[in-house]
Amino acid sequence: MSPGTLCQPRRAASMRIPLANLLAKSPFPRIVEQMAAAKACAERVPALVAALLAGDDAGVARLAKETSILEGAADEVKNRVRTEMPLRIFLPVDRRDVLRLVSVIDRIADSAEDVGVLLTLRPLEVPDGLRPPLESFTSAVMETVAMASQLVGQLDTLVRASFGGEAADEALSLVRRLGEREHTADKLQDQCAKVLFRAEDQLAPVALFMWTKVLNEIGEIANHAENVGDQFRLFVAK
Amino acid sequence: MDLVTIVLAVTATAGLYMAWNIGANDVANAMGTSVGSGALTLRSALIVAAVFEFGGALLVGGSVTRTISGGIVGVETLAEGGDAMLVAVGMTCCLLAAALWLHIATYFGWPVSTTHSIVGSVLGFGLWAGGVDVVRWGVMGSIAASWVLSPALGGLLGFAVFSVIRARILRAEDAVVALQRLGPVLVFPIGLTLALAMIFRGLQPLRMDQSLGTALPIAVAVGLLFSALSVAFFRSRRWRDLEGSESERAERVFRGLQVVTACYVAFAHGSNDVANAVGPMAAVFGAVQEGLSERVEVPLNVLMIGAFGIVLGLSTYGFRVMATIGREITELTPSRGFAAEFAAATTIVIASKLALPISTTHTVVGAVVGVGFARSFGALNLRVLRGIVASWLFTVPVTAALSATLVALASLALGR
Repeated sequence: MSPGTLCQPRRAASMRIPLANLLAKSPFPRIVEQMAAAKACAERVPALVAALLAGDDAGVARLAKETSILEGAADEVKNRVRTEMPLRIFLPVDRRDVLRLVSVIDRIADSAEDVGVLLTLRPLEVPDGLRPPLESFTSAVMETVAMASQLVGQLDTLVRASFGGEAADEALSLVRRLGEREHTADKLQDQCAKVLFRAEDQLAPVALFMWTKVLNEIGEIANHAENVGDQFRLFVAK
Repeated sequence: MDLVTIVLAVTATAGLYMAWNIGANDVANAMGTSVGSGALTLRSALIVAAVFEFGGALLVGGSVTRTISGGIVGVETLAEGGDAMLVAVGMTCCLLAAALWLHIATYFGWPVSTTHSIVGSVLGFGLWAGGVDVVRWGVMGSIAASWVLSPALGGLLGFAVFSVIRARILRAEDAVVALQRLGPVLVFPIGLTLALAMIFRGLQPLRMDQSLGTALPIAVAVGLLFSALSVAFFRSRRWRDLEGSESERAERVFRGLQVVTACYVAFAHGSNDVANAVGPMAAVFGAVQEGLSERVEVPLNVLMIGAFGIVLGLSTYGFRVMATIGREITELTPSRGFAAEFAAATTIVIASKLALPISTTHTVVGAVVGVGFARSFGALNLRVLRGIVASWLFTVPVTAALSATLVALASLALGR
């Protein structure tokens, strides 16, 4: 084996520049890209809910399909992140934590896709009074996703600040707010459930069952967003 | 044309090519860190390199030069046994062998060190000409150990310096004020090390061959002078109205400070690596002109050839390498660049004073990895380290075999 096969020069030959090869491509911009893809996918959920509330079955079907396609796109970015992180890469944070971040972001898109699938399985009647709490629940969930995305967008600043100082404080405060927002989303989910069970006599048991699943799946999106925040806590911690 | 003239001409050419190679690649590797962070433009990097490389080589380069010309192989024994011409031809072949291997390595982009190539070549020549006994294995052993220790020490220093910078400056309430307070403390060891390197057992004609007792107080004074001068720089009005976040403003100040470490790196590099070209040349010129002694003195004209070659390498090809490195290592912000350069240059200067020829590039890489261990880069490709270790293992045997072959061929051709 020659030294050449070991150091794998990335660029034009006839230069000896180990220093340039040493500072490798950071995986973080790719993760920002992945988060953007996951967010784009999750953002179909309010539209799905709106179509459902409007009784637009065709719209629901179309949006569910779109969500599924977007999930596929997010998956592709995720795979690229993983293949671009060989074992020999040294990161400023634990490599396993980065891989975990990648998989929680992936779950945001997965859950969004599942919401779409659940809504297409069976026409779902909307009980009276569910619209207001459901809409605020969905928008609270979307806010957690937006905050998670904002947090991921701060990765670059965090690296430049060696995961400390102002940048770290800022990230931690965003993580805290994200946690609070997720809690709010939980409460709103409970409210939706209450409205649902108040109307249990008018609803078919299967509809009740499906609604519970739908609410849980939307709630999962916020949980995953919160998990993104928790990964950042690990990044910033000593 | 007589043999002596031919040998001298070949030596000068091979030495010039080695020096060209050092300028084109090694200097660019050392200075690339400053270009990458934007502390120096390409043009000013060239000027800084030319001036300080020469200064380092002239003022501190003697020890390493002597190690290469007469320390690894007992040339005086060889000269007694045979004649001085054997040494002259042999050392010329060493330059050719090292240059050849470097040329191949550069073509393939292998992280091979100029130092390792020349040391391997000299070893090969010694083994061929005088057998195992003529090689000073103690010297060879400490050189080999220094090849592992120097990147490690560079890394350790880089980690320590950047950790302090991060904790005390970048994360301070007011980073610029913290830097104003701590900056002179960071500058002090640079002045101290440089002064100590120059006047402690330094150049005799310039009366810089003081004992430690005399040199240390003077060096401390120089360090303090550096600090005092830097106060004016740190208190300068131009840092007052900078925009951006605390750490961004501190980085701007570091960028100014990095000009100092760039000079430091160039000086350190000159003090160690110029010997790779100059050492064998000095041995040849010494052998041909004056006969050999254990302490081969370095004639000024030989040093000039080396310095000229380096500047030539820099200006014909090194700037391109520097530009490539500068483009590739934008993650190396001024504070990180400062820490890495400080660590590498200090390690290199210490090695130069200990007469140990080390790889400056590997030391710079070690220092950058050390800074990286303080969580400061998006990603480091540690596969490069494997390449470097592989180049350690390959270079010495290959260049030793090459130079031994060349000497054998040359002897046959000359009918000796």
